[in-house]
Amino acid sequence: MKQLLLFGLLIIGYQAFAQKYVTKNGKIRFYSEAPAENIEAINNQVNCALDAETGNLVYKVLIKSFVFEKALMQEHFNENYMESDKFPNATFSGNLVDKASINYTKNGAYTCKIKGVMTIHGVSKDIEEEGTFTVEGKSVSGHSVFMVKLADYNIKIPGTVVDNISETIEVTVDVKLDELVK
Amino acid sequence: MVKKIIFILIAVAVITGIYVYKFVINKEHPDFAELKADYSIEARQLYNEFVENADASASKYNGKMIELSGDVSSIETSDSLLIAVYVFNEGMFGDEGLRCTFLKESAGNIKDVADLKNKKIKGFCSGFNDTDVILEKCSLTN
Repeated sequence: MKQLLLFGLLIIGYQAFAQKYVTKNGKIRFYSEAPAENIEAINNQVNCALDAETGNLVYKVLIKSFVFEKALMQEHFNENYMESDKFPNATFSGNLVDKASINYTKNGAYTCKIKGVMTIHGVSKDIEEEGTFTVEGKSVSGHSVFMVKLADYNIKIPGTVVDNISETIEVTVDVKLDELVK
Repeated sequence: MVKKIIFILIAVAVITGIYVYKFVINKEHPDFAELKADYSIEARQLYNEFVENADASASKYNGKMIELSGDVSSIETSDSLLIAVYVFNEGMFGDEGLRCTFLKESAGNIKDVADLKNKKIKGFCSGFNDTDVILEKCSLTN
């Protein structure tokens, strides 16, 4: 009987530890503040997966899913700057630096560093940023705000619109990850 | 005569400026529900094409209006979005297939999968993210 109980606890423990959290409706907003105008775009179709056991964190973003207030901005963003036909996706693949800092069995907000490789416009770059993970029941919400320098990803802004687009843009990530039930 | 020419030039410049401001710089997003579909295809076939050759399919379908036929597997809601989901596979993000996000004004009467029975969904293809083909600004065509 004791062996059966121990086996049962092991199974439950493994399931809790190996849990994955996913969403396909994550949000990424970027904001550019420049002398001539401020530009904002939002993408509500972001894939994100977090493996609680390994601390592995993955994002996949379709560039054409960013929506702008003005149609012309959206056209320029896709055709001239991001070249979304050539580079349709942006990705991040990395890990929580201190994965043990998040207690997935206790509701609360946990701050954790995230380290990995971000690929935008076909250029991959190592990044390390801070994020907040809020555990609430069987879901985990992730929030992070960081700056991206366009030149780092070989995104060129023509001199004629240099007053319209900031060299560095603010990126805000908000995801509500639900436990992946198989 | 010179005054007349100057007046005409100023008038042309003002009209051109207004036109550029209104119809180029501030042109509105198209009415996606009114756009004609570039392709009409069965949902599973579209998914299979992207899985088998993502690059060729991206060149063919990304940025195009696509009309889908086939049975929708489930309906999801996220904030104010309504998403019709076709499931054909399973992977690291869970179910995989096609995800069709509806325009607010087109989603009003859709409550569950039964409302989409024998319906065709038309939307703007924004691409394949290695798990799903994404259609946005969707509406029903029949």
